Amino acid sequence: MPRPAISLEDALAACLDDLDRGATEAECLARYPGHAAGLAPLLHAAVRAHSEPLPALSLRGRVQGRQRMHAALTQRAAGPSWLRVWIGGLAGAAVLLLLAAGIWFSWPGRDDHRGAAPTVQPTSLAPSATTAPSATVALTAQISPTSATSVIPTRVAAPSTPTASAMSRPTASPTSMPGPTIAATFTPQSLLTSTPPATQTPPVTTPAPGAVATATQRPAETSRTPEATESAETREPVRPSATPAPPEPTATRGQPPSATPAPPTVAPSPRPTERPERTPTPGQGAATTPTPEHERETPEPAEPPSR
Amino acid sequence: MQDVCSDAEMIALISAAQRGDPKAYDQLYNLYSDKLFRYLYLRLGEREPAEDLMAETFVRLIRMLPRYRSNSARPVAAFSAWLYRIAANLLADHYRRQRFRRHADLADQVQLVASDPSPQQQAETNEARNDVWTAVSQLGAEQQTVILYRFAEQYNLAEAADLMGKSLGAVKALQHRALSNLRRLLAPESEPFSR
Repeated sequence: MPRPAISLEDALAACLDDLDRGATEAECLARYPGHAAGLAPLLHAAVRAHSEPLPALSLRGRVQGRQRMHAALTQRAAGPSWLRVWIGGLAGAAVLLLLAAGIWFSWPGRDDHRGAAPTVQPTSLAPSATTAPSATVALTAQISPTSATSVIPTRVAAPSTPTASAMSRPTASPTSMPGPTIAATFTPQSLLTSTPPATQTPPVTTPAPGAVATATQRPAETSRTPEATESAETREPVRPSATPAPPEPTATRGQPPSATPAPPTVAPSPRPTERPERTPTPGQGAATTPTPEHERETPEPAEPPSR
Repeated sequence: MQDVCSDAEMIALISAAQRGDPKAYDQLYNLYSDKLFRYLYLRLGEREPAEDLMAETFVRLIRMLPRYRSNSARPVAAFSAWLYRIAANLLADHYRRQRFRRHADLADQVQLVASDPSPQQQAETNEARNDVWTAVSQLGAEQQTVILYRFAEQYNLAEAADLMGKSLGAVKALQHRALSNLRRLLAPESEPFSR
């Protein structure tokens, strides 16, 4: 009696199960007459595959496989040796270090830094080399005039007895001492700021009439700094190394003022013309205001500039 | 399943093997060495690499069994599937090393397993085996496996589905396609081959 409609796959599976239970191929086909034509070759192939055994494991292969298994079992029972574990750990650490080094040396940003270093260093060094001389020049320019102007008022009040040497000292010191000239040449601002206290000092000191000459000459000396500033502005700036060397102090110090002629190039000619305007005491200045010729006649370059 | 081992026995065997009992490993070897060899031989087509991979499968079993968690519902099927998976992974590694699959020349590798056959019977059996399993070796991997499980290892459909990790219907359809292709290979004058 034919069974109900069933797919070929299900019929094949059912027939194979029947074959496993001991049924014959003809019996299976008789149960599914609708799929008999399709089932017959499939069952025939299945019966052939079922009846034909695959090659079995050889005795040699079986023994060798068992020996390998026991060897592995024995090795595992012994456990991993600590030496092997340490070697493995060290090898792993070495690999990690190599990887890290490789990443570090192949990092793209590192090349940029490395390439920028040579370019930055020369540029950073060059300005420092160029600025260093200018800084030293600025230092000398600031220090020397301030020291000269700060000392000048104290010197104005000191000589109470005007002598020829004392009177000629102010005129000689600017001409012979290149220090203030150099300072005024390089830092006019500092000199301008320092001149007012110098001009205010004569009224405070109130020198004696005999000392009028020095008092009037002191402003001349102090006023020389703006004057020199003007000359410095108009003239070519004098570099410290280019300033004319002062006359030998040892040779002029012991000689009388008249015997030591002042160098004509150093003595500024316009200075006496501006001097009366800057003298704080007109009366005193009218009495003994030295003329430029008088200054030129009594040079005394022996005293070094006060500091 | 055709394993001569019940579920309870399998659980005890696995537990003993996990404790490192050599006898348990011997029993597992006796149970699965032939199956694994047939599986590997059908896929590789050569005896020596099949035997080597079979032994390597047990070596890997020793390494991995301590981490194996037994399935209490179907311990035998689960363990068998797990063991076949190890062999399949080794096969994949082997193929990766070889870069190509070499088909077996079954005619040179077959050994007679029949007991005391006459020379004429032996020749006929060799010829028939060559035809059948040479044709099976030309099938796809899954069709080879289902033919192996169903007709060489005598697993039923449910067991084959468990071992292959497929549904019953999928294995049924796969079995049908494998047998159809096998029939065409055995009778080349018939319909074209299909996968």
